Amino acid sequence: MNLKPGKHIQATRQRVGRIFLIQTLMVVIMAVIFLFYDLIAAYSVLLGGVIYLLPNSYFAWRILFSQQNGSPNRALADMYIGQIWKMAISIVCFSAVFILVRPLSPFSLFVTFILLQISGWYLQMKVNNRFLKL
Amino acid sequence: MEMALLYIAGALMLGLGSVGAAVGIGILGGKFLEGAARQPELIPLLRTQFFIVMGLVDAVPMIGVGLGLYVLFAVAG
Repeated sequence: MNLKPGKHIQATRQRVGRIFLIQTLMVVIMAVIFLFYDLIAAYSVLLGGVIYLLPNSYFAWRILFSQQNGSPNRALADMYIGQIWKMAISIVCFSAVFILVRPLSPFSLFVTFILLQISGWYLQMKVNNRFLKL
Repeated sequence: MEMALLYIAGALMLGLGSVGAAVGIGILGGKFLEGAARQPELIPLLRTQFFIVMGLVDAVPMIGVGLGLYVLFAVAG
């Protein structure tokens, strides 16, 4: 197979960037819609979006934009470290929101978070044709 | 008693979510190493596939962790 790693990584970066852009737009649109009904629900939507987007964008940066050279063991260690940091950032964000933000609409927060997770699955499957062919 | 049940519920959500994520990520890492050992020239491609599948594997555990932290900090706290 004539595969050019640089080109492939470049295309993946663009796809992932586009997915994050779409998800950010989704969060903003949902927050604006909720703003007409309830201010607490609107900022809870925004917080749910931040809790999803912050760790995931860090993980994407770590996997796709960091040093690409090295042995498989080094690559796997990099990815595991990125994943551990992603989980840690998620836990810190969740804890900070639940401790510091009162009042909060947990329904709006979790609905946004779950919707973003599902949209992430769908968009990644949809834009990555190679993945569907595996 | 109710508080103790809430803490147990939160701990179960966090703990079982972690077990699921650990099993999934462990299998994923093993398969990545197998693929990289067979065809080292495909490591960049495998990295991106790893990124995508990692998103699938840790989504549900992260929702569980979020709900567990909500129970611990907002409901019980």
